[in-house]
Amino acid sequence: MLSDVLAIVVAEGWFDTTPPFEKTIYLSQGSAQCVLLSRNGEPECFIKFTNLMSLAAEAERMARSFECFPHQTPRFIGYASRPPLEVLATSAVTFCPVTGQMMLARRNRAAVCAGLERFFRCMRESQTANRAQHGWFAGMCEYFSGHAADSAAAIGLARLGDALDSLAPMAQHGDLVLNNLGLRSNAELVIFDWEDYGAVELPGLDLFTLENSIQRDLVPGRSHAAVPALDRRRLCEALGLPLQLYESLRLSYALTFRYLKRNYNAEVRDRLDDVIERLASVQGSAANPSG
Amino acid sequence: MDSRPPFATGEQRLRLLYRLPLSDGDNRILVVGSGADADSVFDPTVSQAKVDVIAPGNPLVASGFDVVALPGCLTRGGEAHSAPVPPERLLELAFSALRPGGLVVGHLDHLLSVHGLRRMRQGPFAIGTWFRCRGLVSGRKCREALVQAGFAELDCFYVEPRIEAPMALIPVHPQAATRHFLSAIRRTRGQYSALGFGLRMALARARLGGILQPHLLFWARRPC
Repeated sequence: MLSDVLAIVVAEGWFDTTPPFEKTIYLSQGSAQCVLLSRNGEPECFIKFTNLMSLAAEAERMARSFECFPHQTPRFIGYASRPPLEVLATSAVTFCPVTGQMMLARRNRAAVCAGLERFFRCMRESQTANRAQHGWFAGMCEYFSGHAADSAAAIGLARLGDALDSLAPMAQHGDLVLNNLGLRSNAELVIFDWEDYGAVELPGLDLFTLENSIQRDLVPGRSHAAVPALDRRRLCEALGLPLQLYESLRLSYALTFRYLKRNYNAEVRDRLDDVIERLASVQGSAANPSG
Repeated sequence: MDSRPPFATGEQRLRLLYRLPLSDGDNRILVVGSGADADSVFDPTVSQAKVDVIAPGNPLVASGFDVVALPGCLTRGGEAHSAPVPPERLLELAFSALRPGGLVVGHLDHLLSVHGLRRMRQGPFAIGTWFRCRGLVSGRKCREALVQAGFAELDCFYVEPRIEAPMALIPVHPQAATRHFLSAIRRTRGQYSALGFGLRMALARARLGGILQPHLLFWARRPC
């Protein structure tokens, strides 16, 4: 399979395999695998491939993300389909992974926050013109209708439904978590894994998922608590989203993220269900302090 | 993501490792090992290929195979009823079993790793295995042994984190491996104590990150 993938890469002119190069292969628990092509350790080209599903939608999302966020996205190189093989290529980026621990250092935190602020401003500028687009919300309601007895889902969906008309649709990364962030040597933030880009257009979702991820990395099991590492006010301002509205939608964000992860394995789904449960209990006690 | 199933278990990812270097036309496969070894690396229910199995000590009864798989047998001790076969002998057997252009693929214990050295504490039998396989103790040695056996177009990788549930194949090329290990250790910073993190980073910077990887995987071709 790998030699067929490399043959496509060569035929498309994405990478020259004549000089010696190295392959680092990343396996996933899903249907697609990745190979990083490097020369003397210098990463050059990142290839995603599969023979089990189409990568066309992801390629389209990656190309779009590179158009909208050229400074924060690996350069999209191309997509090719030679059934049953599907291959997509981006440039490889040299970066330092972002972790919750490193976010505690002021310098790193400043670099990440500056990058996020820029990302959110670009997101706001490239927001969808048509306010009537919220098709994903209908899909989400249908999905959670199977959980009719779940009061947390009902509360979160109702709150989201009420707020939706006042929110400008903004395509979200959809999986903005620490694992998908890196810092280049010039301290510029780089964001990976755009396969969910635009799947939902709910401003603030990316900020919530990142906060949740940082908190989980720092204090496992306390994802509802405040995250000291991010300047929420500044980031919400970049999004054009009132901080109070962002805070009031936390449960809805968690539900939306859970919806995006609906096809992931049970461990991921259970973890998000826990977050939803905690947020529901926190918001429930805030709404009913005497109880 | 909109859709991502089926989910690959560790067992399925091991099979994927063995499928990665194969091409569509690779239909005749010889597995050197037991029936269980063959099942662990090629799924008979999904593969179109015909898979033959031969015990490591047995003589070849056929040749012209598209693929010869050596799942773990190179650095394994002898079974209770048979003497261990020297790894050089197994590589020769693989070479003669393959058609020109055919592929050998296999994995082995990384003996020059913390895991491999720890095994020596299991007693004289383990020490014997270690010395019998000293020609394959590291990625570099493994490459040399494959070249010596006549193979070309070879790739050798560290398997991360372990062969039973692989997540990545890291090339044994020093610069590429070092870059990967430094990044991986930083990414998993929270899993280590300060001392553990520091030691791992120091090892990786000294280009010794590979000694923490317990298994190697390789593939190579018999020249046409």
